Amino acid sequence: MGRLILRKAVVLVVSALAGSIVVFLLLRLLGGDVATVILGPGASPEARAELRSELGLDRSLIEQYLSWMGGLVRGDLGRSYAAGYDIFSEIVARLSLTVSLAATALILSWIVGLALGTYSALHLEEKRGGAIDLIAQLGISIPTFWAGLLLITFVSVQLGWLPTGGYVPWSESVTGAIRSLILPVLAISVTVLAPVFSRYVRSSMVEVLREDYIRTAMAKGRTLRQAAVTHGIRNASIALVTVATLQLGSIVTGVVVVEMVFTLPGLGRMMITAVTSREVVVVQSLAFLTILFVLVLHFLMDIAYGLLDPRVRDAEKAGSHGR
Amino acid sequence: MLTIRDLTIHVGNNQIVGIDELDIERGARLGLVGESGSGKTMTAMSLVGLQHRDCRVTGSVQFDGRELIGCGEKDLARIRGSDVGMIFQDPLRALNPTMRVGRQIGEAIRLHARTSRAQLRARVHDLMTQVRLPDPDRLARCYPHQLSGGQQQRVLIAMAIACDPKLLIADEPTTALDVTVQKEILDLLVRLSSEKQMAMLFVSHDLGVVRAVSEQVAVLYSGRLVEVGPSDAVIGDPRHRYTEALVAANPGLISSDETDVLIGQPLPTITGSVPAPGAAPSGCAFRNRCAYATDACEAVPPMKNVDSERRFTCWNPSVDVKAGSHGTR
Repeated sequence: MGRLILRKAVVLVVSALAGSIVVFLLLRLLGGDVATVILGPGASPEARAELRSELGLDRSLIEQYLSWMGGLVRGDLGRSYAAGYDIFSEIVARLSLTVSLAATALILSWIVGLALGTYSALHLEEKRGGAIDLIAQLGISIPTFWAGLLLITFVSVQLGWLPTGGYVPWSESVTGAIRSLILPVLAISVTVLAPVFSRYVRSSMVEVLREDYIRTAMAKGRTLRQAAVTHGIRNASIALVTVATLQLGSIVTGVVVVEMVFTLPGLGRMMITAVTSREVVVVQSLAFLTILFVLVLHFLMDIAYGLLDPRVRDAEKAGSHGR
Repeated sequence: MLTIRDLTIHVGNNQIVGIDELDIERGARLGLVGESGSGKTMTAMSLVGLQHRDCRVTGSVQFDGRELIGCGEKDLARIRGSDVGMIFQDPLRALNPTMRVGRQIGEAIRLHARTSRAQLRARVHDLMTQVRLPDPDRLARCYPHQLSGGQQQRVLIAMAIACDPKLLIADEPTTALDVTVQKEILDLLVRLSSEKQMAMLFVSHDLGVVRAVSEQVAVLYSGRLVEVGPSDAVIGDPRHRYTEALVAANPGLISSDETDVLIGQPLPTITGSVPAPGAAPSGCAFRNRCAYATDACEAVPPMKNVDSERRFTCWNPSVDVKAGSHGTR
């Protein structure tokens, strides 16, 4: 297990470095002059050049890259040109919201997906199984922002149970934070993750239920349902790790959309504002952070494989050149 | 103890299995033999409700006076693992790859008895010793793929005998194993069965293995019993033409002086294969593959008793029952 973690950690660091270079170069290729945005189109070329050198944009690419990376490590990315906030501390402040949003949605959907998928696999040829599949289809086809608006309309406006938007930080009030996260998490889970997971669990559980070890469990005195829970879920979860990894991109988009709909001060919102005002350093830092976030989740998924499947651990021990 | 009457298994409109009568006495060992596709595994599974979802089972299977056909899932689950133990063909696939071996054995105990953790551990250790697994404490912490094929099958046997069942259903338990390991497992099964007075239904395609294990043999063809009797008598002196052909196709069963004559000659085989469900000919299902088939075979052959222990169903048996004289091969 230690060997697996070490190897995946090396992969993580190397990929992160490569990702940072790609993000940095892509933004340089895109163009979009900060000086024009800040000073307006009427500004003289001299004024713009002066501002650029002030911001360090006239230095060589390597110098700019190294100073950006150095800033990331030191925790100093300078100030935003347009809004004037300290970039690094702003990111840190918003990080907890975005991460709790994504992680909660992932965990909730994982549990719901396993439960619904298993249930529908057990009742495959009955109406009950079909109904769950239908609901899942429906969930996938609803756009996240629309689900968010519906939830706000019914739960917040008509019933008045939860806030319509905004965020109370965890440090201020735990119940406040939970209340402000419930609807956004639901919107992501219902439209993006849970239906995909439950459909995937269903199909992998149907396979698992045909396995000999399920029959063995029944020969020991389990009913099919008990065998599915005690022996099926862990094995079906192995396949789910793969799907969850593939869904990481949609988690990120889901989070951005939901932060807009529920006016949550998260990283997704920060990103969109920064893009519209051409804040290169903010955009590239956030893009890099997104990559880092996805890579770290990938890393965790790889570890999860090892935890779930003892055969993966042993393959690693034997120094196999496989996965 | 186990009494099967008029057991039929249907898939859709096709009858796959139709067994009129078959009994297993307490402590006795019965071999159920047939080619692949003869319905032997399906029969064994259907006894305790483990048939595939698509199968429809009718008739009567009584275990110690309790009717098992039509019995609820919970009641069947209670009988499985406690009164009836089972082992399967492919031991690696029959074990959960993500669960430690000791826990899987423990599960078989926990499902039918309340035990403390310490008692459970001791019982698992004891079972693993009984099936001759070396170093039980270490092996109990292993995952199935870390064991050898023979050890895996021993683990399955340990699970099957965990609650001292009265009947063990063994479905081709040695088919996936090396020949040397095969012998060890068969010896173990026979020893456990004798020591514990545990009856055994031994399903196999291999007549030689069946003779080594069980006193009684039932030959299944296309879902029907064609010959039933003491193993030595049936294999040494088959009556039904199908049994005869099966014996001839197995060189291990022929005495050594006969083998000398056969060396260098191709082994006899049974041409064709078991008919697909619904495609069996009318009358005797074997007649389209049988060298001795006559017009009489178009009618269903009745079950004839040789003596109180032995019966078969064939119009042109290799031995004329009334005359008692031996026919030639």
